[in-house]
Amino acid sequence: MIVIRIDDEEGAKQVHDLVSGELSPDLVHMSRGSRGFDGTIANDVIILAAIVSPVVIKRIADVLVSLITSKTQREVMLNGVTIKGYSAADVTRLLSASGAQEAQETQPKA
Amino acid sequence: MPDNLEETLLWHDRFDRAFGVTASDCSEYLDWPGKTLPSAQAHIASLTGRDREETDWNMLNRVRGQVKFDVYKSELIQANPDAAVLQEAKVVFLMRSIGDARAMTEIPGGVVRVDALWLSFASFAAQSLFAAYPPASDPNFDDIRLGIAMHFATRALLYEEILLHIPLEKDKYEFIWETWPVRFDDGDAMIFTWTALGRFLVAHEMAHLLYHEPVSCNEDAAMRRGIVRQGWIDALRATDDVVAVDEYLYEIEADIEAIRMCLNFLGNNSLLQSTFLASLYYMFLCLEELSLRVGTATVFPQRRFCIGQYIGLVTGSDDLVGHSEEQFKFRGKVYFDVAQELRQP
Repeated sequence: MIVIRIDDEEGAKQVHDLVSGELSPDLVHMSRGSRGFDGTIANDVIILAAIVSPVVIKRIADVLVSLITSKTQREVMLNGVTIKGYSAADVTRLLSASGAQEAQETQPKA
Repeated sequence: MPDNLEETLLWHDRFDRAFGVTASDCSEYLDWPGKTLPSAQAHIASLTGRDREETDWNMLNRVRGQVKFDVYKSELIQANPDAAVLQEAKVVFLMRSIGDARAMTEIPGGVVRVDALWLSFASFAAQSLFAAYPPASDPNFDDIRLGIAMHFATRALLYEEILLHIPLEKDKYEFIWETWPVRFDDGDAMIFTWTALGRFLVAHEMAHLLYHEPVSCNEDAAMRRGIVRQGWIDALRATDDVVAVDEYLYEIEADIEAIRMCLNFLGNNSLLQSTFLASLYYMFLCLEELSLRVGTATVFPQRRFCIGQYIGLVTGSDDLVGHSEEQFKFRGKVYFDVAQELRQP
């Protein structure tokens, strides 16, 4: 699973639309305006599939980096870690690594 | 066992894997209901006939934490038939910490995730409230008092560092287990309080699932629900025009609804009710102090104000709030001050 948290709802919707174009609806969830115990509001895009095509991963990375650079206060997190200062290549690598790990850990044991 | 345990565990594993790569795995320093502390493993192993070395304590602690959550959820639904729609909600206990407890209303059935961090903080509140100090005539009074203060200060520092994402120095926190408090003014009350505060955390997130789909989050809808009194919001608005009402209104609704659900579970026992309410207010004083020390802007002050108002309504007096504030002055506040000293290079 990949959890992408974006403070901006429009940005989250953009990422959600990118992924949902490729995966079936039960594999991608969007949680808008979820409320944390400390009051922080977040928009999460939750991708359950291990395999997302490299083209889409690259597109997601581009969107995430453009979101951060368009407004310095904007917060984007990937699996709980802020990606402020990351390049599109860094984010692509992180997304691919999460997908690969998911694939490895969810494959049926022999 | 709940019908949706399998699905709940599936969501648990998904979050655990997703955050596993990056989140702070500080579970060894935190405690939660159902966890066997390192110091108790030998004893528990002897009681249950397990081999201490061969036992996967991590797995046991994880499962027991999850079972406890399912118990809280069942208790709350049983005592509050209006919450029966949450039967299918997945309430996930996560041993890792990203410093987060969250309700996700839009995932089918609803998913709640609560980190071990907040359960451990509930334990901090319960234990620090009831930790027994010796009489002043005790020849070891100063040493014991210092030991208690250092224990809770180290825990306060741990929570601060987790929330600040500071890499944890493991050695520093071994002290927590070495000085684990065993003497309380009232041990039963402490255990009851810890459980009640843990149940409250789950109830708060369940309340979000019940009421806070994005479309329902506006001031008019909140006032129609009638959970929060208009007068409380007017008072908050009058004292602070910087923080928008939207930023705290739904958290306050979830708090008040959670208190109502928890009180229904406790029934008509006024001693249990007042113990729960006083300790809840104390926990919010501690939460407010924690966020001050971490330097994050939160809405804990607004929430504490309304919880205080609600407690006044339920009990008909300010006594409980006053009592908790007094306790906080000599306990929680002191421990955060000592933590500040420990933080200095």
